Amino acid sequence: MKHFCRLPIEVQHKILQHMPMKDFLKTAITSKAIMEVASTCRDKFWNETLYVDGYGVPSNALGDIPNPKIFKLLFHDSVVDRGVIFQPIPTGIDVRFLTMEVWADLSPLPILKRHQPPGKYVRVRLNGPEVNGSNLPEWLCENAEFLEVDLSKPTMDYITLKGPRMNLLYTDFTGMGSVNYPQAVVESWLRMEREIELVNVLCESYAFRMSSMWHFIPEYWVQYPSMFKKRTALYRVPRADGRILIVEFSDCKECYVTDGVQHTIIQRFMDLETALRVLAPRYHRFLVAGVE
Amino acid sequence: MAPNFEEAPGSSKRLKEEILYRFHSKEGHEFTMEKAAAELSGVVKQISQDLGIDDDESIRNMKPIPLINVSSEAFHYVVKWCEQHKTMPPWEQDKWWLNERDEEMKKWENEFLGGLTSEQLFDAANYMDIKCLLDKCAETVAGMIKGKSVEEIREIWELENDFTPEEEEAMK
Repeated sequence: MKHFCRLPIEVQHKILQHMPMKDFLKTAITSKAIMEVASTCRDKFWNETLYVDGYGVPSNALGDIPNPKIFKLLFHDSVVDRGVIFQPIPTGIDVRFLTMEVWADLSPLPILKRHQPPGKYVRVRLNGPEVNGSNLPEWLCENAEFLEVDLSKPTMDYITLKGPRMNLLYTDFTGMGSVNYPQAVVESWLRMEREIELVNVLCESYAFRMSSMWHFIPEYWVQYPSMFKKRTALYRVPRADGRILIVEFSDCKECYVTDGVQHTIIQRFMDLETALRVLAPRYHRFLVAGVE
Repeated sequence: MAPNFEEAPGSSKRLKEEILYRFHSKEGHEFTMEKAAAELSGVVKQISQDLGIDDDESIRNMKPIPLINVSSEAFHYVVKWCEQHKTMPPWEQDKWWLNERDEEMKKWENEFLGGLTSEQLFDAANYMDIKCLLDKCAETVAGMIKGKSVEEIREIWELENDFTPEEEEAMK
């Protein structure tokens, strides 16, 4: 097979659809014409791998993604309104929000009602211990898809959404919403020795949670948004079993100035390899396996 | 080696009692294909519907379907594929391949496409709207670049890198 570009567009599209993510990404950037075709393949990848990030600073999030138009993006944002206030949703990009019921208690509902950010909402219902019902606004409840997550089960690592082929690491552990996780639940995650990837991410989350900054009341971060500007790096780590782990590192230096230990760690998150080494030596197996 | 079309499964020298569709390839060769096999093609089904062909006798009396974009060689292989799969249920994206197929069939498919996937066959499958063949071709072609670098992919598919250095930098 030569002259790929001479094939009809729909055939090229079909070929791209058959590729695993890694090959697809490489093929997509071989030429402009192919990138154009690849940009029509988003449906396939919605069902396989997603880029997940907070919506607080979408320009950063999109900057981390080689060609955002190829992908549907799933933004988690425990405080949905924040991103919408500070950043408009980019046009031409399919956005879904992942929201958690638990954040609602913290959210300034009047602001949410005013903005009602467009997009599809995936509503995560946390039904572990100590988590009560929801205060989600009505408009959001009407639009949201439901995703039941039983936090009491130690197997919660990848949340399967929209069918069994999609592997999504739910990364909304490091933001404002994590304040509201019951301590017992967080501690139970930390004990999940077998769930290495999740534990590593959660270790950081736990530090966030313990950071006094996260206990400020909502009015505070509405008043001083710059305090909560996060720089979030997304790294896709191919796993041996073919799934892709998405690791989220939040670099919120303002929040760490009072926490010397964490600050040191964050300073060292300069590249993937360093970050993974700092987080857990066990990640070396991925590095050996050839992380790009 | 070019196939001998006179002895091919789709050649016009077929048993008279079979219900056969007739086709004209781009080069003007006449081919036949057994009804169940031919109806794997969306185009054949559409043409039959448009012409009100709804019984075996009408099929027998039908003029050859002109396939102006399908070469004799490609059609020869299309016929082989279709006859091999004529008993399969109707196409369903993502589900069809889950249908029970014995190991023989899978082996046959892999061997069939192993050295065959050419633009011609792809074009024929696309033109005739034979979804299972098209899908299998796409899978085979996608497999060709498995694990290859961007540069290697460009080489294999003769793609020109038309990104500017700035654009390439932005994609990193």
